[in-house]
Amino acid sequence: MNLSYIDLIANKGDSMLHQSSAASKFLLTLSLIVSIILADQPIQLIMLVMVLLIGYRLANISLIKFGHYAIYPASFSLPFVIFKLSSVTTCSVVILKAVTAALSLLLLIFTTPYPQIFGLLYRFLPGVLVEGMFFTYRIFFILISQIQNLLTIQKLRGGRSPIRVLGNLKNLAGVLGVLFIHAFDLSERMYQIMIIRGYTGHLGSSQEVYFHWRDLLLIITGIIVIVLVVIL
Amino acid sequence: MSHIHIPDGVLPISWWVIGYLITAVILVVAIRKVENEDIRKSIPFLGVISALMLITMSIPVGGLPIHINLTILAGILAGPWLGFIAVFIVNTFLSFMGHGGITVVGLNCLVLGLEIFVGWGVFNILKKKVYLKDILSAGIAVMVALLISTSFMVVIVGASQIGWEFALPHNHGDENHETHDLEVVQTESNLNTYLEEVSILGISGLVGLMAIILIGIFMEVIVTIFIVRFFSKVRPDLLKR
Repeated sequence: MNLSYIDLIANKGDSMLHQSSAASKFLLTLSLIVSIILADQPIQLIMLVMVLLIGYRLANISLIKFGHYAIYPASFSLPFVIFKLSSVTTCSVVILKAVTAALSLLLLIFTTPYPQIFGLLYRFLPGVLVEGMFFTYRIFFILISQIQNLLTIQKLRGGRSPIRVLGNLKNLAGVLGVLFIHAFDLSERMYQIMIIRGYTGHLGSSQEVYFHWRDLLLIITGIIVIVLVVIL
Repeated sequence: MSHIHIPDGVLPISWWVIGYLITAVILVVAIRKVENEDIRKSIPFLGVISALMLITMSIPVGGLPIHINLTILAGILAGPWLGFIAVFIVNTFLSFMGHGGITVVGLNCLVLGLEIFVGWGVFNILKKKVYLKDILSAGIAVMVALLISTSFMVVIVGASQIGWEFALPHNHGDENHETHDLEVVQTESNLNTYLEEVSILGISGLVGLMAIILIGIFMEVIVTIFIVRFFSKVRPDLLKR
């Protein structure tokens, strides 16, 4: 998962969707997820895919850039298709449900910078959870670059061999051990820095919710989508 | 290692709603427990533990269709309550990336949460009551916790498949039992087909599937043992938290 790329698109984008409020995009995503749960025919899900493709087009995100993210959930749904189902219709429903749900959530995070998402989450989730998510998000980027460097070093020094399975696991454990210790030191440093900055266990206030015509358009789209799924 | 990769809209609504409700109750208790401690210290540590779980999940392990989580190690280091909150955060992040549906977050939290509670409990009993060494306690804790959580996951997936047709409603109201029986026969046939496609070192079918699960557990046990050994040499204080 390329969180840094998604982060860049969410922050640098200037499309209509990027300019809309996080609340309206969140409501649209919620409508799409409800529609996916309600949908039981391929036609309904194809309609949802079309809505999402329009959304990605409006957000100026090309199919080449986000298309591979759709393969990921589709691959997870394949075992269930082989495992349980018999008709082509039902198979396509399962795969389409997986793809549309993932694309709906990705559209939200592709077009909404993370402080706005966390700001919105403050409204209905406990502060500990939201701040935990916030710290996870930031620490992930720091640690992912460290693990990439450590794994490269391990490879360059001959720490990985296709035949030495136990040796590979031992070396991997060494790399992870170093990463864990770096991570715990990082946590201690963050704690001390936050204390100096006057951190009391609550980072900030929740985002102001505002509505523009763009936001109303998104909310209406969400309602229309649910109605269409029910009718079809 | 145990993680349900079921997409949204596949599980019956009652299953994932119950999953969410139980998770919410445990989360409320976990948050209260964490808030009673120094929250300023707990939150950065929570971020670190969650990020570490996300990262270890993305590291490939020898071409097998499994990934290590190190959830139990995280639980041993952070404690079960903070560990459970970390599990919720990790599953939420994963669902946003299409790695299991957003509706399955609750059930995934229960599976991984069970791993954390069992692992932490077994580790502490073996260490403090039986006086085993950290390495041995951690290895046994990981093995026991993974066997229990994998069984729990299999029970969830297996039991929910009985109601598969309710998850994907397509006019079942008028169908008779003969049609249902036919579907069960087809299901068994598809299950066998699927199991035949699972193959490792020339072993296929149910034995192959079991082999992959056991290799996965073995790998997580070995990696955890080596990490704990590393900690006991470099930072033994981490295991005394």
